[in-house]
Amino acid sequence: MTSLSLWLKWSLRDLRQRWLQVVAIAMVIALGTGAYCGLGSNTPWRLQALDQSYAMLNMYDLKMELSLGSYLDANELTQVVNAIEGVQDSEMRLVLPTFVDASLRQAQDAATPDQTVMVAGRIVGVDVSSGGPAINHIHVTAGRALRASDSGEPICIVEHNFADYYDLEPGDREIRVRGGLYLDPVGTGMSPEYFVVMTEEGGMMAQATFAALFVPLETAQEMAGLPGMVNDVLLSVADGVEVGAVEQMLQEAMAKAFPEVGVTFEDKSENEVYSFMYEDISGDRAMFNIFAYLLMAGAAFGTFTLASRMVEAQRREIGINMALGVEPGVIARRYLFAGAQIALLGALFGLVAGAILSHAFGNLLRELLPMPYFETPFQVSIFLRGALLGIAIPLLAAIYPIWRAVRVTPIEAIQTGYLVAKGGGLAPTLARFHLPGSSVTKFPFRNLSRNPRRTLLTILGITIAVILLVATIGMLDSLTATLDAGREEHLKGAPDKMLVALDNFYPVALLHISGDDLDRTISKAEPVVTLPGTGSSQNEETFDVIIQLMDLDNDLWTPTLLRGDKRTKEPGVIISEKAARDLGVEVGDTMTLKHPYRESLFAYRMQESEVKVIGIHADVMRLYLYMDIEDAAMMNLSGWVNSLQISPAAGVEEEEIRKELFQMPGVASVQSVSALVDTYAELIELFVGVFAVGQYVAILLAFLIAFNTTSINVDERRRELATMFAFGTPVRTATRMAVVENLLVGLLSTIIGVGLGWAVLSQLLGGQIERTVPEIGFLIQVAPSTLVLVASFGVLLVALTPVFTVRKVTQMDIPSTLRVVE
Amino acid sequence: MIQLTDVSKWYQMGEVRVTALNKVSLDIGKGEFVVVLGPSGSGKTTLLNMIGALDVPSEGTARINGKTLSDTTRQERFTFRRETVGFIFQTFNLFPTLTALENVQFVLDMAGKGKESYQIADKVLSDVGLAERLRHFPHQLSGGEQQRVAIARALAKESPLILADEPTGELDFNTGVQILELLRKQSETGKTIVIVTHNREIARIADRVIRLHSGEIASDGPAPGGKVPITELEW
Repeated sequence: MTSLSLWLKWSLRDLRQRWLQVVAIAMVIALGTGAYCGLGSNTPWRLQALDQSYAMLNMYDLKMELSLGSYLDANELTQVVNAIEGVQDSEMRLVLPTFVDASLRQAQDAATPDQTVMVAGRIVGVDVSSGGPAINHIHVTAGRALRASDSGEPICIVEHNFADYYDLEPGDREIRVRGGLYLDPVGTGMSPEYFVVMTEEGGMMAQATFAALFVPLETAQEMAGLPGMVNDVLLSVADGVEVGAVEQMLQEAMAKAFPEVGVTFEDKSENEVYSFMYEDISGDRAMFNIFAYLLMAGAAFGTFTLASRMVEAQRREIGINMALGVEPGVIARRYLFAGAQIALLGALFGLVAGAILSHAFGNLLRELLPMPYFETPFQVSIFLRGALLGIAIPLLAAIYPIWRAVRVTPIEAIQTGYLVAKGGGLAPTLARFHLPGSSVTKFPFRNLSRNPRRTLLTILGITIAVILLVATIGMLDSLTATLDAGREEHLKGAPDKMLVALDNFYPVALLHISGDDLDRTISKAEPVVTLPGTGSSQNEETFDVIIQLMDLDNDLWTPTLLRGDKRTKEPGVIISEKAARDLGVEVGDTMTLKHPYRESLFAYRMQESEVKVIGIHADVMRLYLYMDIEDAAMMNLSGWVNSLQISPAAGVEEEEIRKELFQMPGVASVQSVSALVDTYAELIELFVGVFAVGQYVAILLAFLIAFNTTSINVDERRRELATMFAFGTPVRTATRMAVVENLLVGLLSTIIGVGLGWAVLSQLLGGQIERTVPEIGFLIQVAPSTLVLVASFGVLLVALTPVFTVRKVTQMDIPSTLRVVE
Repeated sequence: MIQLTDVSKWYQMGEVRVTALNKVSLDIGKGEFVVVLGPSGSGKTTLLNMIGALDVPSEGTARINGKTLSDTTRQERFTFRRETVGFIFQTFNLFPTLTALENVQFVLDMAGKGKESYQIADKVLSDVGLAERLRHFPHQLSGGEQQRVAIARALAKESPLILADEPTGELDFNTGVQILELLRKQSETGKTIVIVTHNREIARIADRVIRLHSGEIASDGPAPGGKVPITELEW
C-alpha cells in the first residue's frame, strides 16, 4: 500500500505546478472564511455587552410617563405605584426639555467662547437619596457620581456621548440651562436610555445636537419651579411577574387616583434605544451572513473549477494508475489531498484575516457604541466553525470532479489524440446560429459553450462578486438618497429653518417673539403645536408619532403633499408614505391617533381619536404627522402653542439667534433643522469606510475568479493556442479572443448580478435594516455612477484578465506544446 | 526553397547539454517531395521546427524562401509562418469548437482573406473530398476525415511550403495512403512538401529521402530502391 506521505508529496507537487491558481483560490476561500469569522464573531460579544450593560445599570422594566405638561406630587404618586402588586422598586423622575449652553470659555467672562456648544437637551432629575438612581444607574466615565449630599445643588452628570463628542471634561466649564441657570458638571456618565442618543425629532446618534444632563431631583424641581413634582416613573418588576399585568394594574390605579392626567407606558423592549441596539446586532448578523456565505459560494465555484482542471489534466495518469491496478478510491486520495491543502491554506489565511477584521470591527463599535461593559473575547467556536466551513465547502466542491474523473474506465482515461475529442459542449448547438464576421468572431462564443458547466460556474462566481458590489455601494447610495430626500423636504424653501421648543404651552396671543434685537435677527416665526402621540390602525401596527399642528398655508414651511389635501371639513392628518405603508392606510382611510388632551393647565390625559388620513407627505420619516392648527380643538389646545418654527433674517448666523433666544424665559431649546439632518450625514460617513472594504473585497473576488478561469483556460487550450501560433496567428489576436470571451462572461454576470444585487439590497434595506430603524422609509437606489463602477469592474476588469496571462502565452514553447508526448 | 547551413540545435538541461541537431546542412528545392526519416530521438522533429520557424538554430544558418530565420524577431517568425508555411500534425490539432469549414476559414482569416475565406475553404475541403462534411465538428469526423481537414487547412492559404509531422501516425493503412496521395498531388502543383516520419514505407514515394541519426544526416538521396507509386505501399 502506497504510503500516505507519497500521496501528500504528490499532491503538493500538483499544487506547486499551478501555484498561481492555487493562491488565487486560497485567497477566495480566505475572503469567505475571514468574513464569516471576522464579522460573525462580533455578534456574541455585542449581545453579551448589551445584556451585561443593561443588567449592570439595572434598566427599568416599565416606564410610565405623564402626558406632556402634566406633573404630579412625587409622594402621592409613589404611594399609588408601590401599592401595585409585582412592583419591586420604583424611581420618580422629573424630565424637562432644556436648552444647553456648554460652550467652553477659558475666562468666565470671555465674550467669545473658545468652543461654542449650544444644543437642545433634556434635564433628567433623578433621586440621589441613596447615592444615585437605583433604577437606570448612571455609569460614571469621568469625574464622580451624584451623592445624597448633592440634593438641591446646581450640579450635573453630563451624558457620556455628548461629553465625548465635545471633549467635555468634568469641571472644565459651567453649563447654562433653561432660565439662565448654571450647572457644574461633576462627571460624565452612561445611562441605558442614552447608549445611543436619539431625539424625539427622530435624530439618531445625535450627540452633536442633543445633551442629557442628570441632576438631583430636587435641583430639577427648583429649576422648573415645581417643588415636589414629578412626571416620569421607572419601575422594576419582581421576578416571575408579567410586566404587562403590572402595566394594566397601574393604568387602572392611575385612572382612579388621577383621572385628569394621561399616562403612557413603555416596557424595556419598547424603548427605542434598547430595541435598536438588539435589532442592530440582528440586522448586522443577517447582512454579514449574506456576505460571508456569498463569498464562500464563490470559493466553492473556484475550487470546483480548479479541481476539474487538475483531474482533467491528469486524465492519462489516472488511466495508467487504473491500468496498474490502483483502485479509484486510492487514486482519488491525491486529488482530495490537493483539495484539502488548498482549503486548509485558504482557511488559515482566512482565520488570520478574520482575527484582524474582528479586532478592527471591535474597535469601531467601541467608538461608535460605547457601553459600560464592553469585552471582546476571542470567539473560539465561531472561528472554529469558520475554519471548518472554509475547509469543508471547497473540499466538498472538489469531490464531484474527482469522483467523476476516477469513475471513467481505464481505456477511456488513457486514450490520446483525436479519440479523446469530446462533444464540444453546446458549441454544435450554437453553430446553428449564424454569427456575422469571421471565424475569429465565433471563437469566443464557441469557447464559452464548449464547457457549459465551467462557464456557468464562472458566471456564478463573478455574479456573486457583482451582487456584493451592488449591495455594498447600493447601501451607501440608498442611505444617501434617503438622507437627501429628508433634507430636501425639511429644508425646502427655508434651508436655515430653526425649531424653537418652549418649556410649556403658552397662549398664542401672549406669545411675543419680537423686540428690537429679535426683529433684527428673525425674519419669520410660525407658531406650532408639537405633541407626542401614537398612530395605529386595524392592522395592529402601532408606532410613536410627533404631531405638529401648524397653519398649513404659512409661507415659512409646510409639508410637501404627494397625495390628498391639506385640510378638510373634519380634522384630518397628513402622514408619511412609510407611515401609510406600515399602517396599511391610504388617503380617505381612517387611523387611530392617541394624543394628549388638555384637561387643565398642568393636566393632560391621553385620548384616542379616529381621524381620517387626508394627505400623504414626502418626508422619509414616519415620525412626523401634520394637522392644520385649526384642528387643535381636537386636543383642547385651540389658541395654545408650545413651539415655533423660525427663519433667521438675512445675514444673521444661527449662533446669534440661539444666544438671543436662550436669554428669553420660556424657551427650552433652539435647534436648526439642518443640524438635525446632518447627524444622519455624519452617521453615514462613519460607514463609508466599512462599505469601502466590502467594495474592495467584491472587486478582488471578481478578479480572482476571472483570473483563475482565464489561467485554467490557457492551460487547457495550450495545444490550440500553439496550433494558432504555428499558423502565424499573432499573440494579440489570441489575447483579443480571450478578452472577448471574458467580456461576454463579465457582461452576463454583471446583468444577472445587478438584478440579484438589487434584490439583496431590497431585502437588506426593506427587511432587516427597516426592522432595526423602523422610523425611516428607506429609498432603495443604485446611483448611475454605481452602475458605471459595477460595469467597469464586472465587465471591463473581468474582460481584461487575459492581459495578465499574456506573458505566460508569449513564453509558450510552441514546438513541445504541439507534440504529444507518448 | 530551404537552405540549412551547419545548423545545430541543443538544449541545456541543467549542466547537461542535449544536442538535437549537429551541423546539419541541406538544400531542398521548390516542388520537391521530401521525406525525413529517422527513429525516435533522431532530431527529425527538431529539423522540422527549424524549417517551420517554430524554433531558431543554436548555431548555423537557416534560410527559408529567401528569409534567414536566425536574424528574425519572434514577431517576424509569426508573420513568416502565416505567409509561408502550412503545418500538418500527427494528432491533427483541429479546433474542437469550430466546424471543418471554420477550421479552414480560420487560417484564411488570419491571412487576411476576409470575404473570400468562405469560398476558398469550401473549395479546398471539396478538393480533399469533404464537400459533405463542411458543417461537422471534429468529434463528428473520423480520423482520416480530420486529417483531411488539417491538410485542407494547411493548403488553403497557398503556402509554398507544407510541413507534415507523422501525418499518418494516427491513421489506418488505407486512410494513410489517401492522405499521402493528397500530399503527393500538392507537390505536383509546385509546393514543397517535407514529411517527417519513422515509417520507411512512406519514404518509398518520396523524391528524396533524408535519413537522420543522432542529430546528423546519415544519408540524403533518392528513395532506396527507387521511387514507387503510392499503390505499392504496404504497412
